[in-house]
Amino acid sequence: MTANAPAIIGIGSVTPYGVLAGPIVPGPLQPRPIAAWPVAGVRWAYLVEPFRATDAVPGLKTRRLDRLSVWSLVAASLAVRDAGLDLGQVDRSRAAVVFGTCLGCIELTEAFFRGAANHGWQGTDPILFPETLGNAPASHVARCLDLRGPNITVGSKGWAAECALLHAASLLRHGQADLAVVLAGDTLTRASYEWYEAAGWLADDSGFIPSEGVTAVVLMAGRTPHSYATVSAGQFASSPEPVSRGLGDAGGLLRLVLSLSAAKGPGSRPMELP
Amino acid sequence: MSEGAIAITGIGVISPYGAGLESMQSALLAGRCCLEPCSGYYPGFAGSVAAVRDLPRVEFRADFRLSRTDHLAVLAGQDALISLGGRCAGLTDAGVVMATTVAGLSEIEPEIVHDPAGWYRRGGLARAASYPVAHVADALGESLGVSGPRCAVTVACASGAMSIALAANMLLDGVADVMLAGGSDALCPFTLSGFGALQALDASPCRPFDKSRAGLNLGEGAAVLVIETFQHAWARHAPIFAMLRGWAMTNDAYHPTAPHEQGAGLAACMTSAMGMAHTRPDDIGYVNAHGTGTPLNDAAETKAYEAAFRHRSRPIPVSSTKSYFGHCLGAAGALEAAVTICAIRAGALFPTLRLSDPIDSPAVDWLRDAPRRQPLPLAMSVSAGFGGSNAALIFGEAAV
Repeated sequence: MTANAPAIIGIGSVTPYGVLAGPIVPGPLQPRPIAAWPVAGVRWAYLVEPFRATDAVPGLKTRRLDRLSVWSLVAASLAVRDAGLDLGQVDRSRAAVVFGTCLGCIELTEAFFRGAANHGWQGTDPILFPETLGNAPASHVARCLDLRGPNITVGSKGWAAECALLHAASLLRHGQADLAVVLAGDTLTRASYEWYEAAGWLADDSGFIPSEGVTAVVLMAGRTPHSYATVSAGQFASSPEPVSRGLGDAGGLLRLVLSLSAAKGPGSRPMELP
Repeated sequence: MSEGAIAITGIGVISPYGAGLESMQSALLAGRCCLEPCSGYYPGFAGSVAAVRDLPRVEFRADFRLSRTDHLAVLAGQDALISLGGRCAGLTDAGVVMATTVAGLSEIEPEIVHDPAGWYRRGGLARAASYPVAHVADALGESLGVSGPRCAVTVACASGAMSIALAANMLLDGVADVMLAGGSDALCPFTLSGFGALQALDASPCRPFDKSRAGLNLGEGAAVLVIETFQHAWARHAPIFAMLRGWAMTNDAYHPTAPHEQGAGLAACMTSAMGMAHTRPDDIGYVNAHGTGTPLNDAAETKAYEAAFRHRSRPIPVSSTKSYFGHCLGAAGALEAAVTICAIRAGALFPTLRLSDPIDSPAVDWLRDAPRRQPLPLAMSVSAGFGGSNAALIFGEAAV
């Protein structure tokens, strides 16, 4: 194992598997028919079941936020809880948030466009505009958990999650942060679903079933009391084609957590991630 | 030179002044403002903007549609190659980190929300492909034929500076020998409407740090820096524009849009960057400010300077060059990094335009009226954005 490799010490997730702190129990997952917008016939997707954020994280304020921001807040809070971290004992000025996404806050971006379509560009909603920004989820996590270190949102075709994890590990390696909450996620909306469909990516024989969700991990530098894994090495890459479009860019981190969960639970010997 | 030093060996710029660092530098030295009435470009919108006129065509793959943001990024990238003066060794495997907030938003029409499938059928499918922020990094990489790692950064108005900081980290990690880092953003109705709805736009050309300031003006453009470790640049005898001596990123964790009232996050960011660069506050000769011209930002930013430079023996010279070419959002931090390097190379501190009655601050030496000529071994560029993110970059002369 690489000396002082950043360790994954907590996991939280809001995915079709549910709203979870800690490992996800991998198992068969059934797609559900889409009912959130009008579709011709039956259309299927792996969807996050509606839930109340305050049931998962008491006191959380999520009014008028994009679902991606809400899920990020919940997943980050659950990951911190799973890590057993007392944030009061952490130097929050050295705690980073790194978020990976492909499409960002598209739900409220569509809502902003709807305002323009219905009322003209002069009639858009000022409250919506800041919530359309790609970094809104990461900034809400920082504000909610009072994490004042680097706050970064990245996109990279098909591997934004891995990109976020590698940038977070880099921050820790270079002493620019001691701890990082790393998140990745995307939501499914009518416009994004119909985009996939129009592009022919959902073809019955060779296509994929779209999904959505946010996965979060807490990454910590140095020796840790327990960990799920260490990030010993990694390589950024360029990808001419999406590699995980079926899960949006949440895919990388969710697949990582699923593989960790399948391999082990917390408290056992750390596993190295290539 | 320390092993962690990063050399800037190329700079490409496309701005409202046209292509090239020289055109921007000469315009800044001449005090030429390029803010114009918005109605000339986007009918129905009031206020002033700084637009890039007559965007030169770029030859590109037919299957790769470029948004205006992509187009600007590609032009800046091509200009960066020109700035290398033919010394392009190692560029094939270069990595790309590009910042943007708009990306392909300019390609999407509001009608998409009523019938997305129909909009895609009517030609929207090709246009939507440029929507993800990653598309800008891919456009730059594909256009220049570089095959190293690529990613995009979208951290509101701090994006451009952060892309340079993250690319520098990647160099130190050995991810690539050379990185192309910068930012690109286009003017578009979405952002004009959004900032207008927030009542953040000044109907007149903006007045950063003036007591009568009334908001910002939007601009557009792109800048791409070619960066590499000093050792790599030295080994290939590359001319060096400047050195990136330190960088830092922080978050206010305070409010979705407003900066921390005391500028605490930004002050911590500047202090951290000075720590990384092993410099004292007295060593910094100039700060190219975020300086949007909004009442909240400029007040908080002034407090940040008072905190970060409190141990300085004399006031810190500060100006905002957004008074020349507006706020270019995701490109702002990269363009202003280029401006800061211009200041070092020209030995000229650019004044803030229209600054007649500056905010009272004993800690700040507000630059105004005319460029101040002086040697400038070290200078800082700072950026901040919605969501509370801050970034600071410290540049130095190549010989320092």
